[in-house]
Amino acid sequence: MRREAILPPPERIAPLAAGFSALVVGAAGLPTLGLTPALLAIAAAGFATTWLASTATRLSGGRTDDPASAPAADDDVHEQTETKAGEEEPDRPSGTEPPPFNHALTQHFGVYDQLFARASRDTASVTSETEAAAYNIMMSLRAVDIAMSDLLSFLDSSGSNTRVIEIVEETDRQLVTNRNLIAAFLESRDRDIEECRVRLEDVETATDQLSGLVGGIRDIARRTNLLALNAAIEAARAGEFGAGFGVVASEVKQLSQASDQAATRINEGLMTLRGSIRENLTTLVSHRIAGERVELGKISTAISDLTENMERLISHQRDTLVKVQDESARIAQPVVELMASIQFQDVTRQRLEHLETIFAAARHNLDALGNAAQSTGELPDLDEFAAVANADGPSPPRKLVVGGGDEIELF
Amino acid sequence: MAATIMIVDDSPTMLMSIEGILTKAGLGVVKAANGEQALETLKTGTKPSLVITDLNMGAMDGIELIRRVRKLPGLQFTPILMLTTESQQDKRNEAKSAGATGWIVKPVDATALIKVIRQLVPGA
Repeated sequence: MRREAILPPPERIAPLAAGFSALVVGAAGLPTLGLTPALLAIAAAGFATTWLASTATRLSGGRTDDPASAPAADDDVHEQTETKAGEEEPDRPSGTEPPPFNHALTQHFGVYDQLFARASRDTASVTSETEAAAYNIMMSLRAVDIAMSDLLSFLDSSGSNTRVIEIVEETDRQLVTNRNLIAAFLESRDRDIEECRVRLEDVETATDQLSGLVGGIRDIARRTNLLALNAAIEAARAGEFGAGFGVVASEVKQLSQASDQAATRINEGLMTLRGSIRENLTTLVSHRIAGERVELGKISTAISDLTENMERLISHQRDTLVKVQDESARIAQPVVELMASIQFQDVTRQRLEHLETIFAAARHNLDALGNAAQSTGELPDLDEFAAVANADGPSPPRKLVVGGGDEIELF
Repeated sequence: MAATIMIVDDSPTMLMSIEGILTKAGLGVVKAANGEQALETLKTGTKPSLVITDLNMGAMDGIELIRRVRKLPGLQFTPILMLTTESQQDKRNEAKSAGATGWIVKPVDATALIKVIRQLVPGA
């Protein structure tokens, strides 16, 4: 009889069970809730089923005083949580009175309240952690984006490509100038060589002329010497009266011989001078200037090679700049898409927050049910609770289609 | 001069996300972390070419913000887009009645967002 007194009236059992069912449907109907809400749904479903079955049995006259069929009424709530919903309860020691049904029910409600509270804390924690992680990702993305933008701005503002083209053109101009300078120098050298050759011929002509004059001097000296000899012969023939003239003839002879010797030395000097000039000019033309031509040729080749290398380097640099600009532009789109993808976190956050409101409503309802079972007997408004449990939440995350506009409605 | 878009959202991550999308498209951005802050900014003379606001933002929701913005001088015809996770028709109708120009369900694709902004703000 005691159980009959504490059992809820039949008309109140159905809405109570329906409330649980609505809660279960509401929780299970939210996809991607994670392990805790899923377990919660299973546990609530099991509890609702067990409680509904046992209550229906009692109402239909199948009640029993068998303590094993009554809900466990342990004072320790934690031990209750270890008894899975739907499982057969352990045998109670003989002689122990089963606790009042409503008291046990209240304890069940207490455990479920704890369960919802824990689920609420967990969802809040997940929200907080994903929010922080998403914020950090956005910060990193923005840093990458800023770095890329700075790089592109630098490339644009510095006009690197324009500058490269200017360097190439300047280098080409310098190359032509250098080659022209070398060609002009070599031409000048050729003119110098020809001028030297002409001057050498002039020197040889002059020395030939001087040699001819020297030959004339020597001829005069030879004839003077012959004249002095004749004068000496005539002086000897004149005897004592020609003694003085003989002295003069001797002096003239000495002078003619001295003149001949001087002319001979002058001729030798001229020949030596001519040879020396020829040798010097030959050395200058044949060796030194030819050597210079060779060296200048090497310099010209080196300048050409240097310019060619520089052109290759500049071309490579220009290709690199173009590549950097192309790649930066190519990376920009994925960066924007990544930024857009971060919205998933906000969607998830709001869905979890919606779930927390359901948990809060469930706790509130459980509290009211507990009060009803313990004292008031007045059940909370089922429709109000079911409305919360079945209320539309934020939209589940959809696949983000690039360029798609289905998510936008203009009024 | 680039068009300026006001973004109102209580999520710093969302603010950065939308700001990043808009600035990459060459648009100027003014941010507000809630409805009150947005109204204060608008009252100081800021005249954005378009406003994008979240719906659920604590004390003042997006629809209430739209009602108040519409009462401010010079902002009666400024396009205002709701950007929200909500998709219920009754909410959409409420926003439309309050003066919203359009409804965007998160997450929105960057290209689609820029396209609709340029549709509503010619020359942006």
